[in-house]
Amino acid sequence: MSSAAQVPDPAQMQRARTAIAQARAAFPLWAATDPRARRKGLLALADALRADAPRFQTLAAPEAGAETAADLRRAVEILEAAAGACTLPEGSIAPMDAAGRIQMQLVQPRGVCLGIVPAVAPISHTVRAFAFAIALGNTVVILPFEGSRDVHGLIGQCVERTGLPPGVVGVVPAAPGEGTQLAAALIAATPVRHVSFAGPQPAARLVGRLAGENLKPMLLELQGRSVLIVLDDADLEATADAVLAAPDAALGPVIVQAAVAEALAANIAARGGDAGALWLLKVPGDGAALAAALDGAPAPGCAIFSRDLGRALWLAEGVGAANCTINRLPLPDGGPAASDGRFCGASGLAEFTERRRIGIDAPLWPHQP
Amino acid sequence: MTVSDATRGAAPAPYAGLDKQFIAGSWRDGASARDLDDRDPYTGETLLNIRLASREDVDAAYRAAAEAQIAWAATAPAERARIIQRAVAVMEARADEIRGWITRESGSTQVKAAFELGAAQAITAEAATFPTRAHGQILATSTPGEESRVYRAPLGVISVISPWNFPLNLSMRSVAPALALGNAVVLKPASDTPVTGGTLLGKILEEAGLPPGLLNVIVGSGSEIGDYFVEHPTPSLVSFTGSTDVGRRVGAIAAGGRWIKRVALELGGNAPIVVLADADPEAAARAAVFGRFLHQGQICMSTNRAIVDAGIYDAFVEAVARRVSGLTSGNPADPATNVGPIINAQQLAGIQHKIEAAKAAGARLVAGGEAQGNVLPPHVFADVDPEWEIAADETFGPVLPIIKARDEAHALELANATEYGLSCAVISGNPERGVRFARGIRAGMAHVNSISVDDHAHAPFGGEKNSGLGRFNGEWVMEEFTRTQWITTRDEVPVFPF
Repeated sequence: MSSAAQVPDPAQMQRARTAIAQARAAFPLWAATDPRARRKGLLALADALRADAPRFQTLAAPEAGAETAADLRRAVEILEAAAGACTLPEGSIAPMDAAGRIQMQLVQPRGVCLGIVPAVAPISHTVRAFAFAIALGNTVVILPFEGSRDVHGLIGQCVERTGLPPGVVGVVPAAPGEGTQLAAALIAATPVRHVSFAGPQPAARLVGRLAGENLKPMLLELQGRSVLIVLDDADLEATADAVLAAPDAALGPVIVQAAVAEALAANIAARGGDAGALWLLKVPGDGAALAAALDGAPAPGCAIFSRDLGRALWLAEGVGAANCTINRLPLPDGGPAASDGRFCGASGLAEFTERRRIGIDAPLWPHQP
Repeated sequence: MTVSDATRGAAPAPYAGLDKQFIAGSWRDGASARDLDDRDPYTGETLLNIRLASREDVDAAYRAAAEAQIAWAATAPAERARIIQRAVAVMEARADEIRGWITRESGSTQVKAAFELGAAQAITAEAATFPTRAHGQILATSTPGEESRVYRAPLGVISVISPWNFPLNLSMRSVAPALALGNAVVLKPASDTPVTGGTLLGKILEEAGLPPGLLNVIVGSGSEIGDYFVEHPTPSLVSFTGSTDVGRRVGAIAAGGRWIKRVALELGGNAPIVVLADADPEAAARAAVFGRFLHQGQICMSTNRAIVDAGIYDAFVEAVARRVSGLTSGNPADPATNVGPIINAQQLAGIQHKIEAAKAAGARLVAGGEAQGNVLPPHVFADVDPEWEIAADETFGPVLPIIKARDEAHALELANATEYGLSCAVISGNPERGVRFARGIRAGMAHVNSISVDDHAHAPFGGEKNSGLGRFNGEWVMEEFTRTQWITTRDEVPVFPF
């Protein structure tokens, strides 16, 4: 992207500034909004996305129909999971300390969060970047780093139709190549209190550098090729099917135990595939498979094929990938799921909130353990 | 004797006065007309004689607990934690003395005595972390200007009734968490183990620096003070570990009496070890034999029956028979002894009755032998009908019934065909297959490729069905032994609809 970087036109820059200003203006009221109303908004948005399924489908290429359906379904699941976060505790009361003071810890939304989203699985990636954040009282500005697509506009329409207050979720449209300049401007903007990013490594470095320079807390999710590990007791037919189903861009090295390497290649060939086009690494045993996986560049995803769940789990625990799957590939489009990573669930709570301590002299307070 | 001496390794003088009641920080005789001989179940020797507690003693103990608890709850968490932590050090310094009591009073082998002391130290060390972990919460509200908080507070006074089989650990797992969380305790040990389940804990915590009145130990007869102890207005929770029959009565009095209080009940079990078709029969036999014959089978989690897939049934029975033939039974003080005495003659008679009934029903006796004193050699029955008493009931003794299962589905059906749901073991060559099977068993605890007897101080311990209510250990007991109070506050009284 950097080679194609362009300076956005002034009108575009102005739209970005407006989005930030609107998010900033919306934040105090949204944070103070009855959590039940926030929950209702998230569920209404889930309904709106579901109802618009036909329009999302018409935006996708005809051959990508199934992927779009899965992308939309996951986006809806993320919103439904995020609805449960609206009434999470907003702090804790620690036992008094040795000096008899009570310590309260408040868990509060950060403010305006910037979500930089990739082009793959655009619906679920976009929704994930704001769902838990707004459930917890933040407002969010979305920047599609690799250029806006019609799908972002459609998500924006759904948000509007749902009746979420203006500024709670804003999308900054970007032309291809403008992402760098817009990201720099948005990350540096004073009201932005948190930056999240999902996408490929070069862009992640840029976002990380900008967020670091501006002292903004950040969440970087690097996407890239998945490693496959095929153990000698794997179902080779199912493994060959999975290898051939994987998009070329998603498939990294295939680490295969030597005893079954030829049989795997034969199974791939029997399905009309070309095993020669794969990056095959032959290894002797489980330990060597783990070592080979750890030797390579860190992979965000890893798929392990084996009939022995115990062996597969041992490798999954050791291999260090954020997303490991056993006997299937990680999601083919690299899309997220509701139970996923640091954007959602308990991790999302930690990510999209700040902690503030308040110490109080105990005599004012009822005693407690 | 101070703790610093103890931790430097000087041998502390053994505790004296373990034959007294511990009330309001002083050691004295009970006021009942009755007394109790505390006997060694192996030698029959009287270890000590205790003048039992009366109802007035119970009143005095509860009064002392309620008074002491107020200041204790207001004591800084770090200070409470230090005292509980010191109790761990005291147990370490007195390990030989404590294991000796566990051996003499409850007939425990050296393996069991070490296991029990280790478990008691582990829950005490875990409990020492509770004072700083008992957090309240700040909740969301739907009304601007309203604050909504949840404070966490001790329950007040907690009653603990403990059994004779793992007396030190099963008392300590309630006593230490209760104290750590700011409660006071009145502890009533079983009549067979007044020292290891009662007065020994009083001595340990006293030495650790626990202020007087916070832990009281009442040794009394069930018929004289049992119901009174539970129905008393002072305690907010009764933690009972013991038989399902007595537990039912405790629950009925606690929840259905004049003063409603919480209960934590850890009752009987009928844990199976399920041996799946892909298991190694030798490994399965290893787990079945240790899981059953540890402490003569007198453990709520003990492996009460083996359910074995028909495919490896014969090999399993043969392997169990071989292993059992190598076990030694006799003097528990001898480190070479695997199987020690039954706790008392009455318990022994009950087990022998079940053995005779199984023989009469036609069970195939694979291993057995005559009792010498209270020592009953390990018994193994094969071809047992799951309906027979020996498999359907909990047997607190060294008897292993083996049941043949047609297949995995039948094994699961058999495993669940019990009123109990405490623990179980599953043996499989494929651990995750074992996990899948275990998840089908309605039991609070399941151990794949291990024995049914296990206890981690930070993992939930407790049962389903008639095995009880509630969970011990870790964050679960923190929840059980504290109360929440929801408090909202507003700056001004709002205008209401009328």
